[in-house]
Amino acid sequence: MLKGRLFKISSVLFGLLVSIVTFAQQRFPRPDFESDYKTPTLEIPEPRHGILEYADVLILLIVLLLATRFVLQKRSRKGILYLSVFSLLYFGFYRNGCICSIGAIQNVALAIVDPSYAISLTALAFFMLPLLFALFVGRVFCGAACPLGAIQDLLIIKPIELPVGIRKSLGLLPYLYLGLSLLFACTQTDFIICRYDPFVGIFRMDAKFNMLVLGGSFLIIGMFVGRPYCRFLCPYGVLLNWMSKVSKKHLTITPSGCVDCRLCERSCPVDAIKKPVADPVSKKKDINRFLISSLLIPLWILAGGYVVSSAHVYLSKANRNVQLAELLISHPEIKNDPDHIDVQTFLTSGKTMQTLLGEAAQIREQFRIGGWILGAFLGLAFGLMFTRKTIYRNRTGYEPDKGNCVSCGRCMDYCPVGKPNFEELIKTKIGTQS
Amino acid sequence: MSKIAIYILLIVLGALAAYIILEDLIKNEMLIRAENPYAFDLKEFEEVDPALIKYHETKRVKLDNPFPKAIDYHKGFLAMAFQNHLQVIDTSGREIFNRKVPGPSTAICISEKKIIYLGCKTRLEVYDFWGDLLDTWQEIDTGAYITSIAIVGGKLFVANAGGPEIIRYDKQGEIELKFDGKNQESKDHGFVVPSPYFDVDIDPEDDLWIANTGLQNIQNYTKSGSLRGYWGNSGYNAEDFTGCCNPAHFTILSDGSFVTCEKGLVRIKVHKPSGKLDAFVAAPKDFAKNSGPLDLASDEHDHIYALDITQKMVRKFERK
Repeated sequence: MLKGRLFKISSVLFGLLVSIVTFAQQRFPRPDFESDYKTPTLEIPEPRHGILEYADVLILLIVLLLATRFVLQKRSRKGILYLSVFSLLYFGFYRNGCICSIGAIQNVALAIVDPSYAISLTALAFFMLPLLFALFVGRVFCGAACPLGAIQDLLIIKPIELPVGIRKSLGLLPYLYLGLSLLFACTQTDFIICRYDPFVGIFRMDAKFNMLVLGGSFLIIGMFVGRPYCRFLCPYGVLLNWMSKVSKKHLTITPSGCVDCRLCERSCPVDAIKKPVADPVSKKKDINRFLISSLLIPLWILAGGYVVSSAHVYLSKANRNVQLAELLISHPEIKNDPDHIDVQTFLTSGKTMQTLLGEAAQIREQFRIGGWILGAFLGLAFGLMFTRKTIYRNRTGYEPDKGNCVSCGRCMDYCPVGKPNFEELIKTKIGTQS
Repeated sequence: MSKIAIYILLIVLGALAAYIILEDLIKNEMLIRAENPYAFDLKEFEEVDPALIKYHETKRVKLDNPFPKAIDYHKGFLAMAFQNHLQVIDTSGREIFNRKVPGPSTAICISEKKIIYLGCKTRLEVYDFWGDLLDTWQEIDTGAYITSIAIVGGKLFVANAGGPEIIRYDKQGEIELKFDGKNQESKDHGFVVPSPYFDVDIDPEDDLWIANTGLQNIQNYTKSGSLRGYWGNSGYNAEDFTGCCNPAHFTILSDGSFVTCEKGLVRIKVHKPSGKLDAFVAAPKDFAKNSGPLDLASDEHDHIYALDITQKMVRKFERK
């Protein structure tokens, strides 16, 4: 029954994909260079025209709705798996990984700080839709709609459980990456999420060697550590984590009560299952630790702000105007190089050196202020991580960690509750344990 | 695979990933960009077979006004539009008048009755042959960019690169028709104008020709805007048109041959009415480095006048 429906859904989505190709037409046909000239490859795919621009949004919405149904109602791991394969093919290989919700963070950030930057409705929808779904039903986007998640998920072979300390430490990287990407986007320096997307070169099949190595490294790591990019780098995952934590509904491991069979325990490749916790031995001691950790948070914020803002000169070197100003100061002879395209563009623009230096100084100041904000944000994340370690919640059964769970549905598949062979599964489990 | 081996592999790969990102993040791109791998070297296309060059330059008239934009010829006189000047000279270079105009001038055309129509980006101004303003027509729209004007049978055909479209006016300045070259039935692409080079001219049979620069061809339209035919090919061979938007300018000789000028790889050529290459008027080496394209006009003797906007002069070419 479910297989039949999945086939129908897949057929409709495939048909939609094929029909979209037939509508495509370039506005300005590219000239036919009948010479040996090598046309530069586009860094991002060409924008879509007319109604096609919104087709991707519609497809994303359909995928998210189906994923919600598979997670909450059908409890079908297979359904989520098929959807993620579709998303990998459509949003990944067909749409070349652009536009994606992860990168859309930068468009939104730039649109907020720069009123002259016009953000497309598509980018805004790609940013908002997964967050809205996460707020109500958890991270179904990660499980079924994200091509980056899908490519990693499909390659999980032998997931190992990382030590908690390493997991927690690496778990701070997405906060750093989010902060840096916002800082770079707001100062119009770069869209680093897109630049260092390890899989986009694979989707477009035009990766430079270093990016191919990066993507390959992540995929090999992902064979043993489930979804390494999602867990330890994805900046959008930070936002989805926040939303999902307060989500009204969420994937549950068991359809009714947990029977504590522990079958699900090792099913989660992203270590997002919370085990049962008994009452702590000494509540007083824990309250003291909680109070100390909480009081240290402002110090973490100040320290973080100070450290990152101190690095503002170094960070600002990533900006092209700053780079150009430094280059012209350190190598003034480069003005005579007719082949240096950046220098020649600057010289023919009519802009004076004084103006360029003024702009570079302004960008550095933006990095200084941004450095304080970014550092404070990281300090807060660091402080909260320590404080959370002092909080105990009594838990009697196995539960998904609502923030970190990517709604892949593996645990649901492992849970024997409500399944026809429930008794047999439990007996087998008890047998193996004894 | 043992757990220790997996951990070692993970550490190595993690360090490699971190190195790739950090190394790329901190490098100074400006130094790396010093060499442009996509630099488009046109040198090999600048050489022209000397046997193909069948014209020679016979006269140069230096111009004093800044920013020359467009040129037209009528019975011994050359009318030129500069950004904020309107100037008429005779073919010997003697000045008839030189007037300041509001501008910004972008196109020019003289009628049989020696009325000068000056395209000023978004509107048309009408002058008599002494440079006195007769009329200012209504602005097309703020996004308009008039690039060329042609007159036939009491109608003005104005090329608006901002559309892109051709606008047909009567002589009182009333718009009669606009067309964009598209045809729903035959799915014609219409005018593709990536940059403000969009020329229009009339042949000796009073037929309307339009340079569809984005498609690198010259198209023949009826006065009501239906496509009848075209010729031209994109490419770097002598008979083709180069780059993104060519031919940037063209004019038509008394036998219906086309004189074309291209931008980028600046060269002036003569094509037979069929489109077949007839001759080179001037090769790329005859123009200044980084020269812009030259607007063209021709007289009754098929002498060619090219407005060199880079060297600020009118250059006259005659067949050898």
